[in-house]
Amino acid sequence: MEVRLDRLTKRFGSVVAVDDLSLELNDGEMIGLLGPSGCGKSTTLFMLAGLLTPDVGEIWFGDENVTAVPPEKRGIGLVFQNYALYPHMTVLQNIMFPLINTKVPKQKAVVMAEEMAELVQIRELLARKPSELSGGQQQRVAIARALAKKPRLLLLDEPLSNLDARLRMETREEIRRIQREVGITSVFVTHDQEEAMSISDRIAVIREGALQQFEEPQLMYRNPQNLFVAKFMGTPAINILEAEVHGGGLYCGDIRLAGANKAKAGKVLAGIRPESFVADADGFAATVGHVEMLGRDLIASFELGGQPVKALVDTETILRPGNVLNFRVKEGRILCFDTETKELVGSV
Amino acid sequence: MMRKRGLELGRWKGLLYVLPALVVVAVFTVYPLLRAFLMSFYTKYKFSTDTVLSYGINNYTYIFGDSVFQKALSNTFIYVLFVVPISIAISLVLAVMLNEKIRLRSFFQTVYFLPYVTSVVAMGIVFGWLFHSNYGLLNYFLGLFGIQPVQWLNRPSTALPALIIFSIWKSLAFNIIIFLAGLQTIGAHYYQAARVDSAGRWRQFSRITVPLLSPIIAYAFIIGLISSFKVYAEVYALFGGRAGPADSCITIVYYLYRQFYVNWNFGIASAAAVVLFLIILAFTVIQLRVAKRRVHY
Amino acid sequence: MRYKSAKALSKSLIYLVLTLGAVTTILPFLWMILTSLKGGTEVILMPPRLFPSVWHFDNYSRAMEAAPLATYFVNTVVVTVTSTSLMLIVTTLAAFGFSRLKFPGRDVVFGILLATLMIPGEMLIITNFVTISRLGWMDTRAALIVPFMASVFYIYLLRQFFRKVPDTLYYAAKVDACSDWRYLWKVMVPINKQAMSTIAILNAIACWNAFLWPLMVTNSETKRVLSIGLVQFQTEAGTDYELLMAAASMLVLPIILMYLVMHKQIIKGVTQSGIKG
Repeated sequence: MEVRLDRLTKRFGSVVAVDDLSLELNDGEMIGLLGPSGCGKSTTLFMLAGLLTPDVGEIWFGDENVTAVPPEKRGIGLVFQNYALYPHMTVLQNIMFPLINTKVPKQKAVVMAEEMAELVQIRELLARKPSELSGGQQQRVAIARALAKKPRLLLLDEPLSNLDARLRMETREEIRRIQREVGITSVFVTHDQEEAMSISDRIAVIREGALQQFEEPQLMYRNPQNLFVAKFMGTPAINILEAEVHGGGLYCGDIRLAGANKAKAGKVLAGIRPESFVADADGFAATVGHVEMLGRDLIASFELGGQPVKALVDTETILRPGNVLNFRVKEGRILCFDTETKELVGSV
Repeated sequence: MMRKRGLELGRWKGLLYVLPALVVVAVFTVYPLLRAFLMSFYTKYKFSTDTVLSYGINNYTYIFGDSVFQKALSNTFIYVLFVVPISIAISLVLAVMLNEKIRLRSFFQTVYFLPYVTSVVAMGIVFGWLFHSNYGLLNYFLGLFGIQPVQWLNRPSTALPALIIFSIWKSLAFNIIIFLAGLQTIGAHYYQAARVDSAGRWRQFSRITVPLLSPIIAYAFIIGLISSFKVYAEVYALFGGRAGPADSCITIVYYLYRQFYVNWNFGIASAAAVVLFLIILAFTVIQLRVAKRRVHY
Repeated sequence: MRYKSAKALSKSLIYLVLTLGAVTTILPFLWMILTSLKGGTEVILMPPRLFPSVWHFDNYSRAMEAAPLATYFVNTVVVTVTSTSLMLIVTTLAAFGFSRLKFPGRDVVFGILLATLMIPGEMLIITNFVTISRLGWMDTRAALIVPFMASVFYIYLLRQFFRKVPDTLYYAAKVDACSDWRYLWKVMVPINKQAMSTIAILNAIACWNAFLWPLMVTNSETKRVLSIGLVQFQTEAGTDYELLMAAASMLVLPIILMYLVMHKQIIKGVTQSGIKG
């Protein structure tokens, strides 16, 4: 099912939680709603669920306007960060609950619930109570419950935040697998950019209620529309340098970072991802200040034109503070942002 | 259109859930409260037709001039003054002992809490039997120590003490329950620290237990005051439906009961009720202050 | 060495005091039961004998012949069970309304309800007596039950418990096509059944032991409850203490039995609510 959010606005008192937000979701797509906490992504999700009504705008499920349709009539499944399982019911009863509510005969509900349990691989847990399950298992039950009534749209509100790092990775892949298997259009709310990038077909970055960019993860990472998106995506974070275009080149202080023949002269903010630096004997020299070992990579801190910079370096050579390295920046990988509007103006 | 109506219904649906409770409280708590104030100014009232013939402050002038009401007031204050502090002191000691690492602890707790659940009326009658001048168990025990039988319930001078003894016995349980709960929240590290500083039991009690428990002691004190001011059933049961020999144990509520139910003086009884309300209101306000501090504590 | 013996001494002191206290606490109950099983002459024996020489269980049937205690007992059970059930329903609905649902003026109304907690019930009996008689409910079970159908304190207490249930559970239920009504009975109530049964027990005890109000509004044999029957019996039985104690035992023993079964829950409930019986 396609889903369309058309110019949604939601206010809480004087606070604008969601500001003129429009999105179009394709059938079977997994969308990541990404942004810092309090940016309005959960409000958007709740409006999709029908738990909140937008002040302005419309929500369309396929060719049906569902803006005023109550949650139970929307055909959605909802998964919460804290799982929201009914503590007094067994796993089976939890999964069956939405079915029984919609008057599905008990025999049939049991069969459907068991199918769901099969899908999320918790068959052997059906007789247990939620308190007897691990966090990862509880989240699987929550997903099974959300999917049991065969919804048209699956909504996940920070479903992995209560899990520890290892389980988070595992459950993330599991959610992706289930979503693909069922082929259901899904919206995944998260504040973790890495999570969003790994799970989503497309990501919508939201800041203060407004959509910043809606794009596939790779393209978004490569071409962030503005400084906020650039900074939000990627760890370690992108380096932002005050730079200037003059004489056909982009300069940071005295150092020429790249040629910029077509760019118009003036100040810009240059965004360089840590992995865009490559060792080059002909490049600029940098004295390593601080070294952080990540395992596969090293982060070397140094100064570039008097501004602090972090670069990813391979671990082949032993690097110590005080060593001098020569770098250049990969071609086309310097993102130039307008100093005023913070919008992307081009890359060199 | 549809949507709007749905939402409107939703807006008021919550009220339907609370409505039964609101009706009951309105009819049997709020209305009678207001009416009681009003009724205390009824000087001529016909109950059979529920009509008021005249209003005035005569009821108040009457009760404050009535020596029986004065007696009821002073009895109630004496009663409260003895029952509350003594009960709290005894229950504090017992609670601290119950909180020690002792054998049969849960047995002792179960026994000590027993009077909390049992009927005041029934136990009042039982105490009436224990206080019996000739065959009472209490006089028998006193006799073992060579003390002559006391005419507990038949002499004005001993009737009030008998009532006080019974009430202390009855009220210990509640205080012990909440003190024990409070004691269990005091961390063992305080006592460990005290032991390192070689503080003795008494110093531990006076320097750690009592100060740390003080908010709960204050709570028990106020709750005890409020409920003791309403003493009535104890008197009724202990003295077999009388207010003790020569009204020696009459209390505010007993006075209210008599004016209302025996003499059918609705106005005078209401005036007494208003006086009771004001006394209790004062202590409730204090309690709210204390409770607030307890939260911060 | 000295430390050890001092410790042993204080331990024995604790046991001594606790035992004395326990004996004092339990003696009236014990004496009530033992007296209720003694023969008429044995009761007034001086010095008293602890155990009866012949166990007179027939005192109970004699007491029931002397006064309609059996009827009173049944009345008390009926009133306690009905009153507690209705109170629980009304209180649950209100607690849910005040915690989960929203309606205009909700918090103001709740504030007013809380304020009524300051009113001593003894103050209301006069006007409530008038109301009951106007309603024509004098000497009916309704008079004993209806005024106590809503307990503001228990609404407050239960509301606290309801508020601890995470909001997301409610949202999940909404999405799962569960109505408010169904959510209350299928989710909220089962989750809070511990708290609710505690409230039910505490209320049942209070109802069982109630005295002043039943004394005022009932006067016929078919409506009277046991506590009233007991004080009436006290004036009638006069010096037959074994019968009086049998009647008192009938009021006290059921509660003691209930207490022995559920004392953990009762004590926890008292601790949480802090109400004085």
